[in-house]
Amino acid sequence: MEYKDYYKIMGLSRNATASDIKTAYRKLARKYHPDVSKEANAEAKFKEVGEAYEVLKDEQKRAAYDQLGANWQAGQDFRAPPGWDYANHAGAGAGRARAESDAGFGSASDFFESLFGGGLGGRHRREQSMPGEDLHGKIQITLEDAFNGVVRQMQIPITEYDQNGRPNTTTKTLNVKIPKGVKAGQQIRLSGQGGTGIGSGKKGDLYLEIDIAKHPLFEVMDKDIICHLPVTPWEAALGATVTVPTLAGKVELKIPASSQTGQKLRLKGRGMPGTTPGDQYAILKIVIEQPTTENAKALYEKMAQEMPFNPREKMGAYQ
Amino acid sequence: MREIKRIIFSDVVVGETIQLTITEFHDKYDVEEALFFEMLEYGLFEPRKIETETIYLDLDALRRIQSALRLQRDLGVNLPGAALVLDLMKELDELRRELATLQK
Repeated sequence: MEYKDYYKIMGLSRNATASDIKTAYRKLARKYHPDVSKEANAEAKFKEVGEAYEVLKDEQKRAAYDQLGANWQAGQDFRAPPGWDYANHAGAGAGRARAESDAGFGSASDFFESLFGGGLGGRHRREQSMPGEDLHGKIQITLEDAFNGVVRQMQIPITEYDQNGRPNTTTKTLNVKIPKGVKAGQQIRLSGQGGTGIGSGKKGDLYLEIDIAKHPLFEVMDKDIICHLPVTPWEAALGATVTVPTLAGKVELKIPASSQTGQKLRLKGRGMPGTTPGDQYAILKIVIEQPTTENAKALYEKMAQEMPFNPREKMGAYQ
Repeated sequence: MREIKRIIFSDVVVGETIQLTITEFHDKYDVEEALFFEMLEYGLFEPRKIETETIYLDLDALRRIQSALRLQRDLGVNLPGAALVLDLMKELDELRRELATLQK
């Protein structure tokens, strides 16, 4: 197993005081708390910090940990020293360590268990019967999948507890049916797919939060779809019928004469599906053809002569 | 409010409902009855509707209740603090989403 540098994890030196440790823990717990953190691996970091604090806040555990010496590197292959017995080392009163972390997330690392035995929290061994934990995860789908609905296969880690309350993790493949019209941030509940209960306790549930990947053409605003539609100056000026992509395929859109950049045109019912489906909005963006030939330049010059206008008129006084 | 005896969660995505008594809810999610009503009073979650003995919630309310419990346990945040954190997180998520759209 890997050696864990609890001081490094908490950003502390080996001679940190108890109050340094407490402050560092509180700061890091806020930073990595899975309910507020947007850091990658927040949950894993939070567990790691909780475990480090569990050891460093406890004088006896810290002394035992310090006894291993300062020459170990994080990640180095580690075996507890021969004759290591924390229970005796800590004195008869301490007995077998059962960590009671302030942070209640999950189980301790192998490293922690090899040194101090038991696990974090330890609630699984205390009660005869209790329901399984609810599990939470995220599932990323494409916008097309959100529009059409999809069945996705997922690998879910399943932690089961043996008679001694020791966790044993395996993976399980689940087919997750995602109905059409889901929105980012919505939760899907898979009943009974969470953690295994203890004794007669029921299985927990699995909650998956929907995340929709960025799409190159479309943006989603609640139920509506927005796309930016490039048009030529003459299509905008004279009006035209153009082909617009939607999630359900191409449709024809009539651009009225005298349209402008930024104008929103609505394609009713072409947004995300639902009892009342959303709409798609095409936001016009006038783009010009670069004049590369003499003829093209002459045409632009003619337009300048024929249609002199000042688009910056309203800027007036500020110019 | 204390006459509420049942919670009905609706999973709008799948179109299912989950019905629990307040006691079952307590056993399953470790939320004391009094705490649940306190959370409701603080507006920590918004019920879809309340009938005489039944409160209707969506799954987002369950997520907020569970987050509040963890914030309380792990960071020592009290209920009004947790409600504030959750509201600010929601606003932050919306802003992040909007920013991502604008940055495209």
